Amino acid sequence: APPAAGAASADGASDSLFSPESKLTPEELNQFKAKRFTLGQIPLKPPPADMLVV
Amino acid sequence: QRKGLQNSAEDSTLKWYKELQDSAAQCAQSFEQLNSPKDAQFGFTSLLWTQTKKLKLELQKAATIPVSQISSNSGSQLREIFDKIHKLLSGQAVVSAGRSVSTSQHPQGLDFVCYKLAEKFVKQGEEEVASHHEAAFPIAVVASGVWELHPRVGTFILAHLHKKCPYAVPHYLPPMKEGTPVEEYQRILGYRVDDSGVEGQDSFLKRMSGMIRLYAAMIQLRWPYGSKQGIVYSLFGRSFVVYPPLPRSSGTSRSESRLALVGSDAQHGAAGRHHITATLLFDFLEVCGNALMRQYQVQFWKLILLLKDEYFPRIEAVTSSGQMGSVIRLKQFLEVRYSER
Amino acid sequence: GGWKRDGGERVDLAEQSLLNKLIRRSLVRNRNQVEVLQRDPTSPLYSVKTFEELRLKPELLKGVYNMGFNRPSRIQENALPMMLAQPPQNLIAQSQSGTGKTAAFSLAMLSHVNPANKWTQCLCIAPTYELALQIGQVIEQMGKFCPDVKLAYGIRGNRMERGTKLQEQIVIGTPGTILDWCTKYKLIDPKKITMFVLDEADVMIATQGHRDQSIRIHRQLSKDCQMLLFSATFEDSVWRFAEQVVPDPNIIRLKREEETLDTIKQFYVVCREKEDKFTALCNLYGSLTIAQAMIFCHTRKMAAWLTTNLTKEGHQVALLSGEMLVEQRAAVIERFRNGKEKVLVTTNVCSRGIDVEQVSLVVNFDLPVDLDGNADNETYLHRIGRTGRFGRRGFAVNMVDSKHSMDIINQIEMHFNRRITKLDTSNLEEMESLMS
Ligand SMILES: Nc1ncnc2c1ncn2[C@@H]1O[C@H](COP(=O)(O)OP(=O)(O)O)[C@@H](O)[C@H]1O
Repeated sequence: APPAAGAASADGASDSLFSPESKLTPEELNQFKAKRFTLGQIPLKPPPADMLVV
Repeated sequence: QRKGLQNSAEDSTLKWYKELQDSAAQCAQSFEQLNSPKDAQFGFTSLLWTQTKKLKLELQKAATIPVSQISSNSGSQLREIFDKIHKLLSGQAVVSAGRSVSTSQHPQGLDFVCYKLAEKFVKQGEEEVASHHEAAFPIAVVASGVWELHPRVGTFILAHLHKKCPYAVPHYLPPMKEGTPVEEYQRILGYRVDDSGVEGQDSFLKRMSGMIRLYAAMIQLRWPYGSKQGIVYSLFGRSFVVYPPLPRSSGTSRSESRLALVGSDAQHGAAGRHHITATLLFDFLEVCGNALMRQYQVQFWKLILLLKDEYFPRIEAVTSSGQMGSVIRLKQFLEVRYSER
Repeated sequence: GGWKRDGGERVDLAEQSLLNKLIRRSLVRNRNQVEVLQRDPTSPLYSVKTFEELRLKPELLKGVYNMGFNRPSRIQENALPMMLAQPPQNLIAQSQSGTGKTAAFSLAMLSHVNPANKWTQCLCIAPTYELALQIGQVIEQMGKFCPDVKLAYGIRGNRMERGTKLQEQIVIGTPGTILDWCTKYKLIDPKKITMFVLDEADVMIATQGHRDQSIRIHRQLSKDCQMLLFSATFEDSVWRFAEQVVPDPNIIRLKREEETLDTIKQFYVVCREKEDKFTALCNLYGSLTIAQAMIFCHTRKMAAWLTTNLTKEGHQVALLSGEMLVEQRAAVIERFRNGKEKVLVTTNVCSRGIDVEQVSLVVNFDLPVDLDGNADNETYLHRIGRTGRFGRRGFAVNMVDSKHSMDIINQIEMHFNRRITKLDTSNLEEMESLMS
């Protein structure tokens, strides 16, 4: 079976390669959208599958 | 600035770490009881005990000898080794050194074999991959195959790995507490400490590299298959952390699927440990950096960028010149590997 | 010639040196003090603790770190500043093999050349083709980030056009070919050589021809060419030769560290016949984690038997045996070193002189005895002794199959005043507690 996207759990852990956007906080999303990460603020969750290219 | 982002995750990581350790400890205890002959209290050694001892030796041999036979020499041999281990874990009889043995011969047989096997994989990383980096892949091939079919072994692999190599646990090593004896702290950092003192730097780094490389190879190998592995993205914390994707094991909570490589940290009074960070990051990225890159593309690249722009200047500033080798090697590696982008 | 008759089989110094280079993966630890004798005792003595202090070109420093080095070895601490000093100083350096001499002079040559000048500036000679190749590999690896520095091999089979001048700044080769290149073929202008390195001087002078050729090469060099000479040992003959080719030298020496049994845990296992020993060996494998093991047998026949049986059990085994040619031995050792095979079975004779410091388990499948059947303590020490603490503990396991061999164990214990502990390989708990 293919990896189930969106299986990120409440405690921030994830069972899949990517996180669904709905499971990310605005801060986390901003980090993924930004051109650069900010030291100390990199999300612990994987990025959403559609944010791998800019 | 916001520091809170990582904290809750660290808590859940620690919880997960503890669960793994507990389940390994429980298992060890379950067959530990079988070690001591209860009957001995009555003044005789029971026949049963002697038999159990023999059986344990045979089971341990059946589990660990195949692992020690893994070499980069031949692919078909790996298949044979894997089959042997799989058979043993499935309760079938296997022949080792001319003797037939099976886990079904004792109620704790399977526990014992899972535990010893996992321990053996990690030790093989510590001893063999340490001196032959190329050995990481063949060992990882077998280990991840076993992990896939027998998740319990995977749980124990992680537990043993975390115990021997604290850098494989995604949390910051605690700063030295006042009053902690230095040797005790060294032990927390993963150094071997015995009567003759604390292990030398070179030997320590070699062992850690061996385990991290084996770990990275397992992660990468498990990657394309099945739905079982959880994947967690890589990140920076207050310094540098990579959370690689990770095979899932049954029996513990979901968050177990998060593994990480934590480079040790500047803000935790860890100056002087950067060469460890740099060494292990290099080991880790050399083995599975390309795969991470393919998977996470720009998000991975952003990490590398942060490494280059924020991390290197910081550690170069605080690393003593006698320990610059590892930092320069990592830098060099990143320049070459990721310059083509 | 350089042949020593020994136990009916000849031991060639160059061969030994090569096999040692092949089996080695890391620096040999040596905690002795380096003795330094300066040509000018009043000049300050420099030694470095880091590579940074040498102020190398950045490409070269990168090359050094890229080899996995972190800091200079004992001998390098002193040798490197001397070799890189301005004005140039001559150097004679002696230390046992594996202490970092080759890496040191490779670095010196790479640092010395001016890449803009397209002629040969550094000349390095070594006793054999294979040894020259080994040195060349070090230079190539270390000089990886110095693309303008080129290297040529002056070794047999490497034919060159007469009269054209070589453009490579560094030439490394054997004395015969290098002499031809300088005199007969005029590929190199010896007067333009500014650094001359003579490696493995002790091996070199063991062959009369090499010795003479080296001196003839040396005579053609200009007076202010920097001369560097290296040797693993320092008998009088080496010393006389060194004085002849290296005028006004600085001298550094690092005495060989005595092998001891201090860091080795020694055991014996009581067995009946060879099948029993074999089972004991399998038990050992079941409870120890060892990257690599070396097993010594008394006869070729036993070694062959053991190899067959281990292979049948699924082990990857290499056999180093007396009738092999040096190329074959080198191939076996290289495979073993690269972890293709993890067990090396051998007889003593064909592994004499090989440094097995890297191996963490040594098994005496048969105990070492002299012609009279007494304990051969020297061989025992050489097989399992280690110099200093190299971070890894080692294990030695002796198979005892008779009253006589038990006597030998006792003799060895008495001789070294070190206990050899009895091991029951069928007792897991005991084994794990003893061997951890
Ligand atoms: N400064 C160093 N740090 C770590 N390893 C080194 C260093 N110098 C040399 N080595 C390694 O040690 C081994 C022996 O060095 P080598 O130069 O061949 O010694 P020798 O010429 O004295 O036999 C080689 O594997 C080499 O790569």
